[in-house]
Amino acid sequence: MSPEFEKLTDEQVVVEALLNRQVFGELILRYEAKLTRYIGRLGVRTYDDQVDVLQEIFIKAYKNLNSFDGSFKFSSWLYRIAHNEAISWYRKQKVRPEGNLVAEGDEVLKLIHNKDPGAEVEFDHTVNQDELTRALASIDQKYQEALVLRYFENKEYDEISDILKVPLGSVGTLIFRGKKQLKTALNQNRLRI
Amino acid sequence: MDNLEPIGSNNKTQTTTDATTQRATFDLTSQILGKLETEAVTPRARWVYSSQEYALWIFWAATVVLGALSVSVTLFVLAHQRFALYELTHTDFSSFAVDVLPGLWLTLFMAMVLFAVFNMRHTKRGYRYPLWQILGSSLLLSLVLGSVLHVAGAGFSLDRKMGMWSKDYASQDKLELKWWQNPAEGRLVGKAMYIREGADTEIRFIDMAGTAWQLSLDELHEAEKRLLEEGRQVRIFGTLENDRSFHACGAMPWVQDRSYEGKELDEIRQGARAKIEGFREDKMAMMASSTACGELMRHLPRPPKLAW
Repeated sequence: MSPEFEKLTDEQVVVEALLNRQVFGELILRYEAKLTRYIGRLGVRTYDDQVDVLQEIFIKAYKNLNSFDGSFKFSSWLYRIAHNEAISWYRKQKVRPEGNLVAEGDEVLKLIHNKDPGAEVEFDHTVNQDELTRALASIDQKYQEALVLRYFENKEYDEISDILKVPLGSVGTLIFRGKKQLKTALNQNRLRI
Repeated sequence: MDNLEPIGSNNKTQTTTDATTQRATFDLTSQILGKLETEAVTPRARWVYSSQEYALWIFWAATVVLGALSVSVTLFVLAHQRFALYELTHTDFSSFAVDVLPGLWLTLFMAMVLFAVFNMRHTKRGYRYPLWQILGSSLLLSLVLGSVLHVAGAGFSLDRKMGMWSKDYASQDKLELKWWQNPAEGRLVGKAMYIREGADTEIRFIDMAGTAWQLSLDELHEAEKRLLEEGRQVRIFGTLENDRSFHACGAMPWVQDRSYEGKELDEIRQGARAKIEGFREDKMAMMASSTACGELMRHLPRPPKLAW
C-alpha cells in the first residue's frame, strides 16, 4: 500500500477507497490484527475460521462503504460489522462462543477490580487464566460482549454504544452487571477477587 | 498476528502456534482485494442507504399520525355526549362501557406506537436513545397531535366517514341509531313536523325508520319543545302508547346529524347542555309524580344523568 495513505485518517481512507478499490487494502492492513483478536475473543478460534470471518467482514465492509457516516468513528462501524459476522458465524456453528479472552487476563482482572466501587476484597495476582476464560464464556453473551470491548479492546463507552447498538446509558449497566456476573462465575477460591 | 492464541491448554497453544505460522505466510489484503476484483464487487450506492433512512422516518411519521388519528377518534368517543343517559340505553355502566370502548382505535393506537418505536430504533442513531425516551416521545407526540385533531373535529369526521365507508365499522352514529331508534323500548330518533290546519296544529314525528308518530308533548319542558320546533333531528325518550302514538318524556339534539360539522356540533352540544341543565330540576320533580313519565323514570335504575 502506498505510504501516502498511511498518514490519512480512517475516514479519509474511506473516501479514497470509494474512488479506488485498491486503497481499501490500507483499511484491511490497519484492522486485520485488531479484528482477528476481537473475533477470536468472541469465539472464532481456529485460523481457518478466522480467515473466513475476516474475509466476510472486509467484503461486507467494502460493499457497504457508502453506508458509513463520517459523524461516527470508522473503527466503531467496522467493529459493528465484525461483531455481527462473529455472531452470525457461531450461530451457524450452533456453538456457544467460548472466546479467546485471556491473553491479558491478569490485567483485565485488575481493571475489573479497580473500577468496581463495591469490591472490598484484595486482588490476588496469581490469576488462573483458564478460570477467567471459563467464567467469561459462561456469563450472558451481552455482558461478555460489553466486557470484551471495554477491557480487551479498550473501547470507550460511546464506541461500545455504537458497536453494540445500545443506548449509551445501557453500556455502563452492561459492564457493571457483566462484572458482577463474572465475579459470581469465577471460582472464588482460586481467584480471590 | 498478535494474541491469537487461546491460552489455557496445551492443545490450544498448539493450535495457536499453527495459526501463527500459517498466518505469517498468508496475505489477507491481497486475497480480499483479489476477490473484490474477481467478483467485481462494488460498494452499494449511497442513495440506497439514504432512502432506507428516509423510509424509516417517513414510516415513523406515518405511524405517529395514524396513532394521533386513533387518539382523536378515541377522544371524540370519550367526550361524546352519549355518556349521558346510558341509563336509558343500557342496563348498567359496564355494559355501556364495553359498547362504547373504541377497541379498534385503541388497538390501532398501541400498534402504531410500537411501530413508531420500531422505526425510530432502526434509524441510524435510533439505538442511542433509551427505549423509554423513544416510546415516551412517540406516545406523547401521538397524544398531543391526537388532541389537536380532536379539537379540530378530525375524530368526529373520521369516525363518521369510516362508518359511511364500511358497513362493518360501528361508528358512533350507527351505535347511537341502534340504541335510540327503538320505539318498543321507548326511544326514537327523528324530526318533528308541525302541520297547521286552521287554528289546530298537529305534530307528527317521523323517525329514522320513516314511521310517522303522533307525539304527545304534554310533559316536555319548553326548551325541549323548542328543540322539536327547530326542525332538526332529535332524540326522544318516553313511552309507547300504541303503534302510532308516543308519549314524550324528554327531547335532546341528535348530535350525529350529518349536516353538522365537528366544531358546530361542539357548540350545539354546549348549548344543549345548558338547556338540559336548566330543566333538570323539573325532571327530578317529575319522578315523584304519577304521570306516564314519572312511571318511566321510576323504573329506571337511577335518574337520567342529564349533565353531559
